[in-house]
Amino acid sequence: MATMEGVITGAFARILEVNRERFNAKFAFSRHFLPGLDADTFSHHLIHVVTPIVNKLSPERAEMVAEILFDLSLELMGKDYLGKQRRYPAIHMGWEELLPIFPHLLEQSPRYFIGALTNALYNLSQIGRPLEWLNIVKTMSFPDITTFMDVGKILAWRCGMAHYRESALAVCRSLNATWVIQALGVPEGSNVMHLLDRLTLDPWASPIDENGDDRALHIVKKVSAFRGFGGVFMQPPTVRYLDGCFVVFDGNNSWQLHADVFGATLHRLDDIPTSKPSENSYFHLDKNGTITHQGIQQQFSCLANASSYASNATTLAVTLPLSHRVYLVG
Amino acid sequence: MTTDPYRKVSQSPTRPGQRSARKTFDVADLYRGPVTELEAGTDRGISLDEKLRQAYFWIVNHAIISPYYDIEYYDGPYQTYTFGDRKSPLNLPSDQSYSSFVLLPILNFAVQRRCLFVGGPGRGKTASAVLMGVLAGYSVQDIRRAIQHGHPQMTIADLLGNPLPADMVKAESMENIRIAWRRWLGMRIKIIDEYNRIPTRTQSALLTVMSDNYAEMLDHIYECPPAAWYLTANDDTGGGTYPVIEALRDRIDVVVKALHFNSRFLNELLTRVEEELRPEELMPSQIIFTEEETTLMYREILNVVIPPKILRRLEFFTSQFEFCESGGEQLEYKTKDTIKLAGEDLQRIFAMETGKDKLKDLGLQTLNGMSVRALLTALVFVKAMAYFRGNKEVALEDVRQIMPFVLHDKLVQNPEAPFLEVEENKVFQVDRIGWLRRIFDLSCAEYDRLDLDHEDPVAEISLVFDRGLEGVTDSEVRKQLSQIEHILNEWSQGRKLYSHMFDDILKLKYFHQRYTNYLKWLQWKA
Repeated sequence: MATMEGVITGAFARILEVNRERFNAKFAFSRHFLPGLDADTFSHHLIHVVTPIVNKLSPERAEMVAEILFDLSLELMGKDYLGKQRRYPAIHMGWEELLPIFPHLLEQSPRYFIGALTNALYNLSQIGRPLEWLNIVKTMSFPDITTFMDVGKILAWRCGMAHYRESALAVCRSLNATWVIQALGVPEGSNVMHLLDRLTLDPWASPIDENGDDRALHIVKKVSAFRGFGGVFMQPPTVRYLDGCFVVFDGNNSWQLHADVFGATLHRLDDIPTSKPSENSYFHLDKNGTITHQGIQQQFSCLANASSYASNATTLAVTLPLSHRVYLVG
Repeated sequence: MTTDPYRKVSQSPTRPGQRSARKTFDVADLYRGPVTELEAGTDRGISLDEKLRQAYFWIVNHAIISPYYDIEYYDGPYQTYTFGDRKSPLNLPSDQSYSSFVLLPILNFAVQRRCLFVGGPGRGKTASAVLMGVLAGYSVQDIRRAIQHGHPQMTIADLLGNPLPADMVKAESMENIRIAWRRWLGMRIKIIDEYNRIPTRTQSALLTVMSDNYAEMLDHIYECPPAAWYLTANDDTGGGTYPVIEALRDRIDVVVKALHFNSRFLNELLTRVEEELRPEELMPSQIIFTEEETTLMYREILNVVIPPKILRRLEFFTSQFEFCESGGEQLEYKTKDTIKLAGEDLQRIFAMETGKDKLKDLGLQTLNGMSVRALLTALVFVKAMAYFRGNKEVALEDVRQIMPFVLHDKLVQNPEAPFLEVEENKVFQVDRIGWLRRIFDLSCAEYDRLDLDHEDPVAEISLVFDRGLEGVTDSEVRKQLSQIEHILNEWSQGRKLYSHMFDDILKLKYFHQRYTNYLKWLQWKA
């Protein structure tokens, strides 16, 4: 840690100098429990990631924020959330690219802001599109952490976390229209209430196509794949509609399926559901792959001889005997 | 999960409940992940009892090496083993259990009472007290400097402060003398190290601060804020350089023994030595309580309910100890306190008593009864225990676990009690906590044998009385009087006068007197 001070410059260098003993003790203690915590990697992280952040802070807050950054770096590096291994490159990018451009948010509530950002990128890395989220956030500026977090929630939904749809729409309704417009990426001046009503009624409505009144059916999503090819299903699954959601079952495990225009997510269920499935009263699919819905009939030959199908008011989910995907029609 | 053990605060919930089957999603979960302890001051939705538990677990996991679970809770079957010739039992608790050395100071912190650490030197007594100070938001430096170290030359001025010398010369009246009060008087955590080395005169000054929360010097008063007190002593018999005055000893609310160091944890000590680590400097900010939080937490503790059935058992237990049939002629005076005040020897009096089973009589095991102060402390601490466990009501086990620590210095053991001379009970002559727990268990067993949950005539009279006297007619009053007299008559027929009956009889007398006065008033009114 002593050698590093010569390379780090500015406010952070001074902070390290003053608190040298304590920082050294923290690092030494953490390394005792985590032999994999590498001094060089940690130094590199402090020089290239933490220093630019700290040097942008106001002098009164810099020391406090620096210590929190140091502590969190130890925490996260030990489990490879940060650092050389980079299981989650988005987290590293978030620290490198976002933290330096929001010093005022850092100073407001450092651990809260850093922690929230890190956790968001971690969750997006599991089941969303974290880089898309990052790139959008980079283009925005936020007056406070609350706004950042609310907009971040909507962006997470927009970046593929379809299971957050309902709660994200609720956040949209509580936010100022300007922020909703930015978060959903719709043109300025859009009628936000009308837009939210559309999105609420139809999960497949495009946020930017206000006039879209396309009554034709489309295969809107093909969800997942064989586990060996990056999907989750071991065998061709079947689908049912239970207790208000799509449940997909591959013979061993069940998943809850959430999908909309922004993405599709699967969530493993602890128990195999035993509720009685809802009747398919909204969509009908025959053996030839012809779908009937609200007076519209359309044939999808690729959906012929389906092994199962289930529907709600807006979506038909279909599985095929020889496919590891779930086909969504809307 | 954090990789810095000193920063890790136990994840909520620290007392897990049931999981729901179906997944529901809230977009707020986006911000929950590997960084688990977000900054204090933000709305994390964490309750104060949860924070208290997190504080406990942080201390027990990272700060104090006290790998003991001597406060044992059970939830269902559990394993028991015995070791050695004395068949020393080891139970493996089946529910969350705790180390008294960490838990009791934490509870004391929550209810702002007075906790005495006892144990040999170098066992972590002062270190534990310092941690409580850090938990209250003070810096380690401030806390250490505020510790009052007892020594034989300690004067009142050392303890409380000095009048300003210039004022002493110039002042023409006491009012004009300013006092430089010691800073520790204004702190919410007060630590007195080796209190039994303080001279008697200075102990009196300390007593005033501890009991009445003010300090006085030259007619000047310093009002102290509410505080949690931590005192240390190397032994718990009141010995030391100076004997501790009884009034001061009596102000101690809980006594905590410093447990021995388990040698299998030497590696942890080695780490601290090698890394020059001081856990008190690494306490996470998330578990530090503000003054407002401490005040609010105390109010929440007071709102914890003691169910009537639990309270009744506590009453029964308490009633075992004061009564002494030879204590006086009048029933009200038949107490150990009467004998003590008369300067008589209780052992000699006990020896005169006949007709009762001296092994079973719990009253013979103590030289005193429970004071009001002890009862008040007991009530607060059992509530605190239930609160700590996340419950809205006190359970019997909470009482059973806490009472020994509260009564440790309050119930004085009779060393010549026949019960303690039985071979298997001799260990209780040294194990005060074990003894207190045992007599509580015996009391509960007797309570069950007497079926007092169902057979309690005093409770029935009490129920009617508690409805109030307003509007009660002459005939109703007479009916109650007759009922009381009937019960007393029945009890007086050849039955022995046991300790637990003593308070019951006096309460019936109380009801009788109240009804009698009311009847007279009704007659006067008519």
